Amino acid sequence: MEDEHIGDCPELIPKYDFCPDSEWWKEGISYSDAADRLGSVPSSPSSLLTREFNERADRWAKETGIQSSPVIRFMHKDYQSIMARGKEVIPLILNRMKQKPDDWFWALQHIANHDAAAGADGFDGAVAAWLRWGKDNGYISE
Amino acid sequence: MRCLHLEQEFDNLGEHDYDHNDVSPATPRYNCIAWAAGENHRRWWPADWDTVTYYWPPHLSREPFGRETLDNFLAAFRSLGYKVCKSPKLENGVEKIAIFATPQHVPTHASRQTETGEWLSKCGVLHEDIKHNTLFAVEGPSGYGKAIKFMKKRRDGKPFLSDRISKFLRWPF
Repeated sequence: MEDEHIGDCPELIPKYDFCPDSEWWKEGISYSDAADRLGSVPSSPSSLLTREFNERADRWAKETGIQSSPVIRFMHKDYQSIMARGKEVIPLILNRMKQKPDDWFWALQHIANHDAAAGADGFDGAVAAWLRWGKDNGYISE
Repeated sequence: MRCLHLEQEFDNLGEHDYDHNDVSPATPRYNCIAWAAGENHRRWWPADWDTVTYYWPPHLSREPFGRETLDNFLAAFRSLGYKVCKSPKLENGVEKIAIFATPQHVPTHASRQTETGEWLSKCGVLHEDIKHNTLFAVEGPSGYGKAIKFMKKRRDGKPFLSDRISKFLRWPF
């Protein structure tokens, strides 16, 4: 026991993940530009973000589910907070939409700055179009 | 089926205020305006930002986000043969609809009256459609605001006598 080193106990070693955006400041560009560049390689959302997203999405559905007015639904604080998280929530939205189809089109359109549902046929067509877009762009798997 | 989640959401909807045996499955594929118009395969809203998932009669204008007007909703139901009336009171052979709005007169909901005087409402985008006894059941700040406009048409599709007379009087002699 006297010769035991920290290196012998892997659980005590700090776990550093490769941080791909750590050098952005050296390039003389803004962080948002660097983040946008990284956004082209979708990564998995953290479990913390997933938990926050699920809480907000559940509360949004519960508190606005009886409403038909898109304004009332989309201006809800949780929907707005989810939109404010940007591209990192796209996989979460798409996976949720696969399980529980709902009005995520407006959020997706603004986050992705793209309308994947243009020309689709109705609600189901819009859901299918966004899921196809998500797969084609690496946000979700099959 | 008793809808406890709806009873929780609407302040004025109690256990005995709607028919537990007349509840549809929950679906996001149609909304209250569509259901008041007699459709259950698409959603109606005059959204100019989404012409894919929201239908609106093509001869009417679509409106920007948050700028929906009561007049546009009245025009949509007028195109289905309804005309504005003063009261939601049951009349023999007449189908009525009620349009709900916020205190600022922003439309929120529509219900359709049955032949026996109850009201049919699709509860929002997510939930079931139900048959409730009164308009009050879905009114209130937690619900759809207040039913402020009523429209009617004959169930047999024919024009009202008063309309036939005024049309005759307008005839160019």
